[in-house]
Amino acid sequence: MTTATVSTPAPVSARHSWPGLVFGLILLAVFTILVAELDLAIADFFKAQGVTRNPFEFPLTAVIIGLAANGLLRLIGLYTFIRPAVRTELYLKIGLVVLGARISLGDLLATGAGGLIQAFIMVASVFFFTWWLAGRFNLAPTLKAVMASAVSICGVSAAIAAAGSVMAKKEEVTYITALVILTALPLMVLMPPLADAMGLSPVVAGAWFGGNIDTTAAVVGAGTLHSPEAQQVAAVVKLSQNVLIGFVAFALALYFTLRVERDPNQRPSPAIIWQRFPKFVIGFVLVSALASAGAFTPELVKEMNRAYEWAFALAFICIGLDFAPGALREMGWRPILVYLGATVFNTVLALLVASVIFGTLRLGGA
Amino acid sequence: MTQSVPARRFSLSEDWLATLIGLLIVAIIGLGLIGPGPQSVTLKAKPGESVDKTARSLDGWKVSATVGGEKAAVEGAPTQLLDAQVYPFVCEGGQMIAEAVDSSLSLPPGGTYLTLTNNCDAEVSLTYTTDYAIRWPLFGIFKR
Repeated sequence: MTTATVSTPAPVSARHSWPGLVFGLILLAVFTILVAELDLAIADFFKAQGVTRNPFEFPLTAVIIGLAANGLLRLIGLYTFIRPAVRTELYLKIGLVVLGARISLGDLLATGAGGLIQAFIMVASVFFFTWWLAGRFNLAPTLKAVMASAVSICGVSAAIAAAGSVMAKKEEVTYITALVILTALPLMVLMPPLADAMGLSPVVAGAWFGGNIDTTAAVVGAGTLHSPEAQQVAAVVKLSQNVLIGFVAFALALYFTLRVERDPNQRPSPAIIWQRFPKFVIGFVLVSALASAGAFTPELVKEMNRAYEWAFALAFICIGLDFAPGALREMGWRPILVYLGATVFNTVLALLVASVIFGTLRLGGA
Repeated sequence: MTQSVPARRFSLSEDWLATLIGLLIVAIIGLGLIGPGPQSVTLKAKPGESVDKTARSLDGWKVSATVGGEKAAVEGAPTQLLDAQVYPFVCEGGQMIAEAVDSSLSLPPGGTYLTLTNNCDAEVSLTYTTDYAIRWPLFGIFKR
């Protein structure tokens, strides 16, 4: 059975270093305070210019701080030491569970239903398009699988899940992680003003971000840069896409066992679907249900908003810290071209599908 | 010969860990363990009008007011509101004044009472707010 897991890109030895974890967390807290302070200063600057809405919100500031810290820490040789604290996905998932308090169960179900329909269309189309394109460029089957999963589902998490299913090399995951970040950052910054320029409603804009941008952190970032409503829709649409990880991982494991490795004695178990299911979605739905049942006052929900802002800021800083430009040089230009081609296809198709499902048909509570 | 069996280590996947931490944060905030969340009570009164509202009995309130749309100071405004007390405010001669608490009034517990009487010529507003327990930013070190 091909269900071996690939660990996160952090070196295993680094992930278990307690001093590194503690020091890294302190450093991240300092960076987050810096982000928050800069965010206030930037907002004040724009206010003084007569611009009431800060166009340079905290996700962008956080990523820039993370990228700067990344370069600096590598330069002084501290990067590997603090690596155990760089847990983008963990902070993001914590934030998403808390974000559940702001989204009513009714909205969640409505947006989630539209999101699921969109997710099925997007995942199937983008996965097979990337698979086909990667075949044209003669990429290795394992790299094809990891890349197609990353572009079509949810970036790094999907890459790791797919890598476990097809026994991909660790370098392939590191490489895809770098590509995911490299493409997600410009999309996070450019898509909100593009959505405004095209006159998209916040709901359609959020669905577009959620359907297109690979990594969940950047999806939330783009939504935050656009509007609270877009952030909400983007997060739910992306989560709808995330829940398909398990099914894709299972299908890939089955395909690689029977078609690539051609070993009929080893069949993957459907248990992989549950193993790969993003369990934090359960927490997110539970918190949303509690909030819908009136368990929290509006003031307490506001306090929770502050809590998830902190978690998201940590995640955004970690996106910058996660970026490994060196990994891109190792595999040459062909995979980069495939990834960029798939991203363009994803962007255009997501705009079309989001406009139809959330705009024309209004299946997502628009 | 007995073989040593490696000790089982309990480990939690990232998903479950994130879920537990997220739910813990929600429980701590949701149960009010770090406070009731940011409060805001605003009273608005037209000339000659009297209005009242209830607020939570808390310490650390910030007070602001406007007279005719212009910011105005509130003389003697209490920042700690005690349970079952009435805090009267009045606008006189274009100025907002906090009057002495009338402790002779018998009111049910479970809140504090703010009253605003407008004897001025313009509309007035009085706002009582409290901060978030979770600060964004945490310390405001660079701003202040």
